[in-house]
Amino acid sequence: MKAHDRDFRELIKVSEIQEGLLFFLCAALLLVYSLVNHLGSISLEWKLSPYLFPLLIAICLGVLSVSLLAEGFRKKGTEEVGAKKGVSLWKRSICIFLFAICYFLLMNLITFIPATILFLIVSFLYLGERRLWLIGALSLSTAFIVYFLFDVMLHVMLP
Amino acid sequence: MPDFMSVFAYFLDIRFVFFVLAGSLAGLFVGAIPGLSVSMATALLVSITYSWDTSSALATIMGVYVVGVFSGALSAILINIPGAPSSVVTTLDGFPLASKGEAYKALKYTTVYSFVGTVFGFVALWFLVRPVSMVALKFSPMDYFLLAFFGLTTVGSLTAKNFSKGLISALLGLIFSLVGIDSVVGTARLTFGLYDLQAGISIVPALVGLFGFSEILMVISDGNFDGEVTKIAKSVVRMKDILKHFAISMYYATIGTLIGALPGAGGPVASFIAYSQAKKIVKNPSVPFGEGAVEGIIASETANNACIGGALIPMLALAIPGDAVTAIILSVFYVHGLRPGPMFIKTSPDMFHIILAGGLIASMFLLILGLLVAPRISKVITVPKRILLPIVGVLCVIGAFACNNRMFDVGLMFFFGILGYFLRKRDYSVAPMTLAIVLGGMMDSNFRRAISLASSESHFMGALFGRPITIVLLILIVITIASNIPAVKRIFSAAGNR
Repeated sequence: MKAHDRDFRELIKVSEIQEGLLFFLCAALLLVYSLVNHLGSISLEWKLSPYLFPLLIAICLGVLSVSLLAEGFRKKGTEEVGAKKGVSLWKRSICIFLFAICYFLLMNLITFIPATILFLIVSFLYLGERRLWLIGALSLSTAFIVYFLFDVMLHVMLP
Repeated sequence: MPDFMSVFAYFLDIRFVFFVLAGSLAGLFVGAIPGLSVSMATALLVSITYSWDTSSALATIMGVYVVGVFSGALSAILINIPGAPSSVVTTLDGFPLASKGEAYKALKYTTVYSFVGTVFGFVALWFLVRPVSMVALKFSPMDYFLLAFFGLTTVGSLTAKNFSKGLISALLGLIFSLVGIDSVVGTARLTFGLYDLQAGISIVPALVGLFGFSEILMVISDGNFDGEVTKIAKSVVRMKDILKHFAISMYYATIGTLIGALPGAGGPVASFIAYSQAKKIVKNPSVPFGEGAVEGIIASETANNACIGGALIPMLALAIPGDAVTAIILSVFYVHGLRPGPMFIKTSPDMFHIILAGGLIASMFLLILGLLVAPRISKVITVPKRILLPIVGVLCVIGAFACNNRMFDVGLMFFFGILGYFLRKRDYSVAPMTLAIVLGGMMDSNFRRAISLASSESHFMGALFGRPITIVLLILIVITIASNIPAVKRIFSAAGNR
């Protein structure tokens, strides 16, 4: 039983298996969605149905996800798994993504220019810039230049 | 040549030339800075130029496209990091040559042959787009569907390390393209009750997210913030020496144009094939290939720039983009109410002239900027990414918001940004997804039209697949798919070894 559990845990670590399962789930959901909507709410033949193309996509995605799973099983068998290249700094990317989300939310509360200045200051500091005068100058100038360039000159509406 | 005067009239239009120059300058910097890409800049420009008149928008975008593809070679030569995927091959000889203290020579060869390739591509576009449009008039709805499908399979096979992953990326793009009110029967699909999704997923926020925001996240996670620049010492490089490779460059330009015209293939493939051809043809290079041979730089740069004109041929004649940037340019056409396709040249000749004029003027700016500004650009290439990336992030937000003035689109941009980031981290290319998002609506409507038409015929399969063009496209698709199946690959390699 323990050997089985270990095997399963090893298998699930293979990226192709994870992705194959995820895409297979997506394919199944799309298939169900297309069938339910076509059969349930549309009184059209399949040839005109708006759910025909999604149905085909679901089938193709299902086949490809099975091929990914097969590749994952093959990799597991040959122990090609786990060769992580270099140091991943993905946490930094996620933090920047979260800053951007906060920026998006802040813009609704305090308008474009103050939100942009805040976002730039926090991002510059987080990414390792330590010269405070540069951070201040760049944040202020970028926010105002962008505002002037887009809003005033190019007539592009800003958030 | 009835178009000649119409095209060259734009050379005298100061406003038009100014917009091309502005685009060219933007392209020079965007292409040269690793981490910023031409696709990203074009995607941002779609939203900025949304409210502009079409000629100014296209002039700017052609400037960015032409000069951006060229300037990807600058960082490839000076810091061994290609500014654009199509310049990867240029690093093989460009950087070794620069390391020997001949960076100026490498830049000069790059500039001249990028110019040659670009002009060749646009001349080919000028002459070939009409015959291709004539052929396209004979296309049935099924042919359009299959051609788009062929494009997706090609781009899936060429841009991803794994064919299945390339196709999965394309299928995800197709799913996104189906969101919204169906154009044939008017039913809401995949909107999940969200009112903002009823008009579908806007192309601009999706592209800005996939190419702009995901690029920021990728650069940050790679941690490669700075590069060391090779010093450029000015030396005498005679034009006579440069131009003695002109004849063979025509061969590389032909390769580039033809590969560019294949839906889905693009600069990276063209430059790679041209480089392998150069290694076969040029028996006595200046130094061995890979050690700073100018012949390698010529092959790569001529081919990847010739791709630009080539990629515009299927985009204008068939509304099938040749690469990711032309997929974005296609969305500019849609945003401005234009419909490329077989009748485009007849119905909108002025737009065709604008593209030709924009491309040719941009190629002149490529030559001028490449010879005068490029050698002085090394400081800009190493602008610390910790400064650059947050500013690009702000531009992504503005770009996503500006197309419809909706905060919802900014949210969509973030969604596609994070999706693109995870896909790229796991070796899924976002190029097939981009093409699929642009082509999905057309594929869906043509597929259903084809099925509908065929079902009224006595021989359903014959009506669907019996036409010569359809058979050719089907064969191409089967070859593309079969040649990417590992078992088939093994059989062919075993047969080859025997």
